[in-house]
Amino acid sequence: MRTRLLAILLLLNVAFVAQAQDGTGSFRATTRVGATATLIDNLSLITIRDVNLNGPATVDGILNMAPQTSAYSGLLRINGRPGRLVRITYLSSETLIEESGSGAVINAKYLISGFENDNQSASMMLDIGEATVRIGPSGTYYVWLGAILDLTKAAPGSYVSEFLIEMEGN
Amino acid sequence: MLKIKPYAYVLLLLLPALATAQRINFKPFVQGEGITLIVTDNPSGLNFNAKQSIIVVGDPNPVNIVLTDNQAVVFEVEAPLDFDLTVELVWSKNLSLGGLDTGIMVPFTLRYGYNNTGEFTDMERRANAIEVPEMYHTVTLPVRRRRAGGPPLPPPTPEHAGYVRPKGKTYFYVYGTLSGAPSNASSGNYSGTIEVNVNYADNLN
Repeated sequence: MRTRLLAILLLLNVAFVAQAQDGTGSFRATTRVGATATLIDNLSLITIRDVNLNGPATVDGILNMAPQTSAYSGLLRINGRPGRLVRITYLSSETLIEESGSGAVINAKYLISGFENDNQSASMMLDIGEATVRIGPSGTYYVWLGAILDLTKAAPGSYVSEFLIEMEGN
Repeated sequence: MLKIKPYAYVLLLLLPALATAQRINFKPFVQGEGITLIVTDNPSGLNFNAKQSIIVVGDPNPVNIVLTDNQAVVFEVEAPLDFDLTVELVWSKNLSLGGLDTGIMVPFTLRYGYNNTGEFTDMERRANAIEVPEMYHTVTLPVRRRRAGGPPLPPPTPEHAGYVRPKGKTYFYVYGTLSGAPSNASSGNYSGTIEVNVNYADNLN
């Protein structure tokens, strides 16, 4: 009788072992990718006024148009996020050649000054060739463009140039 | 006769335990059946600049990548045909500058859809894909969609020696919308992560 009982108990144990088979074998695969977006600042440069070289008087063959004071200087405006640093690079000097081929030249040296408001007399002279400026609280920065033109080697004729200015936001 | 009685009591006590062992679980036994998950299109992820190359700070217009766009990320899952999959997507709610918590974020809405109807071309698969409603992070679906109506299919063939279980491919499409870049955001590269977890459907829990 005892042997039979032991056999029954043993079978019961087997039943428990059999139950332990479920709940296994869950497979899983995982991968990860990115989501990206590169934002750029809204930075623009507008020419408000061209340089007027016919206006100022020439003294000893030199035409001097100071950016901080001359009413004939060019005016540009940078629009962007307030407080943002902007690096300005510009052509500091060049030689203009007379278009018909007479060999006459004008040596030009460009100067710029800048301020965060449209207030020319308050503007500060910027480094030659390259400068870093900060956009003002109103989201603007004004740049005045002046020039020193050496007309001693010039002859009557047509001289054309385009002043190049580049800006880069940080 | 009196001597046997205590053993009978022991037997009676064991009977309830025996009853719990009767449960039959129809969960597929999937040991040895791997799930393959690969990214077939845009493995580097969801790039909103691929849809709109210039995204300007402060621009309120959203950038939308939709399911049929080439910029959508496509995942291919290969698994035994007669099983169900549970797919879970975990993603950042915002894109952050340099992937760091700088406090300035660009809101981003992720959407996803799937195709389990087994078309041969990508265009057909996208056309028949089902978009999962917004806010759902988990979806359970069969590897191959079952035909509506008619009797249910027979249960999966059990594993046995020499048996190769037929496999099928299910495709997932991840796309989304970059909400307007806030005007106080700095310029730079904003990023977030999308994690895709695929499991065999587990109905035990």
